[in-house]
Amino acid sequence: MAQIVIMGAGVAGHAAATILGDAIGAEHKIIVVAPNSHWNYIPSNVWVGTGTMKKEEVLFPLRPIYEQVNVDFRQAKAISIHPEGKEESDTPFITVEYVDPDRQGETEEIPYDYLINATGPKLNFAKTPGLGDENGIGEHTVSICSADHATHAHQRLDEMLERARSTKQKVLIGTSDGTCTCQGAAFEYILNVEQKARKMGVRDNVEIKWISNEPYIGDFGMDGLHLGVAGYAISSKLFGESLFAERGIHWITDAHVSKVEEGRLEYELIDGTMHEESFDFAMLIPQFTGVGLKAYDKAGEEITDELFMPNGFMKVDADYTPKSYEEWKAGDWPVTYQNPSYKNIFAAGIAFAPPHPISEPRKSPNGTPITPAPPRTGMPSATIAEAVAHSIISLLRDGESAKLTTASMAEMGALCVASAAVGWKAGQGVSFTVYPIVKDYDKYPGTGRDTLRTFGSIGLYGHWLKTALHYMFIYKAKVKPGWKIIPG
Amino acid sequence: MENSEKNFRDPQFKTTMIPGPLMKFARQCIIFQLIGMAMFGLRSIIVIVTNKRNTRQVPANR
Repeated sequence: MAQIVIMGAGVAGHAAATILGDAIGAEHKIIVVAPNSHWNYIPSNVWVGTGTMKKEEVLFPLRPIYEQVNVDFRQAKAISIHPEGKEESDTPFITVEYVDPDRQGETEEIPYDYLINATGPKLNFAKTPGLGDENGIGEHTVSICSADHATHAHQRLDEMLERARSTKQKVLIGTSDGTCTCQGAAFEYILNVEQKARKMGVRDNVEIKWISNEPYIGDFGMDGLHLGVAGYAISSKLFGESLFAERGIHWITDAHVSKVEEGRLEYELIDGTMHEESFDFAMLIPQFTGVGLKAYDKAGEEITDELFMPNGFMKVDADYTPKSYEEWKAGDWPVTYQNPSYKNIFAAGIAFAPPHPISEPRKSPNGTPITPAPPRTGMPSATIAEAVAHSIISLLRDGESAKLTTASMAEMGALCVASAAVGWKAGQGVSFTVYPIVKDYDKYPGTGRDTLRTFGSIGLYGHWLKTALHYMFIYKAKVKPGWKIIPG
Repeated sequence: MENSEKNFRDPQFKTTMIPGPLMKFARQCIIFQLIGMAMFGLRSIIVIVTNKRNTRQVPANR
């Protein structure tokens, strides 16, 4: 009997755990180690942040689900990886520290035959002075990165909108550090906040402004995209800017927020100039880094550099050779997500280290990087986890003739539905497909993508779809009857 | 002139697209949106099928 350990129970970790548990949970031991006792459907946090949904609607407890699919759940935080074992044993293991109220503070060594790193990101609020510290978000701004953060954001938003009944208010929404990702979540949030201000009849008293590290609205860390719309291939810049213009939302792009204080922030633009903005309410996405796992060899010497990149994300089968933007190729991107040094370790979702950004890398004259990091959330995250799970199943069942399943982001499309307003009749959503996620100019010399399979539109059905996806993915994650036929 | 169109006097908004009355109607029209959803569903299936087709099996002992 082999032991497979999965670190993390987010989109990728949970997808891998349910597939492995269902397929081989009766013959082998599957262990999930995650600090959170509940699964969070993160795409709907944007609605928790405006009060459209309650926190309970985007969360469910993991333990009962894992009992159904023969997965052993340990509510603990992974601390270190020991891929060569220790002096007295060759068996690789990880060390964990329990956060489960019954075992709080206890540490344990968990041996593994195969390890999946699906820890997701560390929300690095400490990177931006005033945004927060090592313990999390600070008091000046809000976030929608977790259900608890989003609940807090909703309270602060409602307070601000109440004040707007009598006094002018200013809202800033976007990203903080110059290397942030996940602009899509902030994009949805700003449009939903704008709709809420309109619904409450206070829009004229609320100035709403976008601030982000993107070179233009609609870059999304994917170097932008050209969407097939009404016979045209329209740039996401025009699409995004037009939507903001229609809603009266101004924007600051190319920005790295360098400091946050009560009611004001400082930022640097790509030209090196420093500016400041005041705010009454601000939601800023923090920088994402790896969770800070350490690695040690058999003798106990630290080998973190061998497993992880400096940003804390795990090295996989990507080409990490430093190259200029012009030299980037689709083939740089990983296909099997297997660690090159230790073949029984895989990474899935945000935890794997991309070879480089997708957007063109830029620095201000002061040396500050202002380049959106590539997105690896949602559909790509689940698809990668599925491929990794199937690779491990093959390694266990087929021995020498085992095959690894590929899932390159340069050969993978994604569907995305971004909420722009809520309501069964008044709702709006931007729905788009993108293929491939990573541009491939060798195959698609024009825009880097297949414009027939990169398509988008805005309308009421986007809201219906976003709502349907919420219930569908929670249904799938709860492993209810027929869950396997729902695509990840 | 609608409020959203007044926005286009703003220098930052000058080079954007203005949705006309027909587009605004179509965005919220239930029948039009049902058709749009069916078209998006079709394109989504194409992308999902492409993803499945692009998935390869490579020998573990490369």
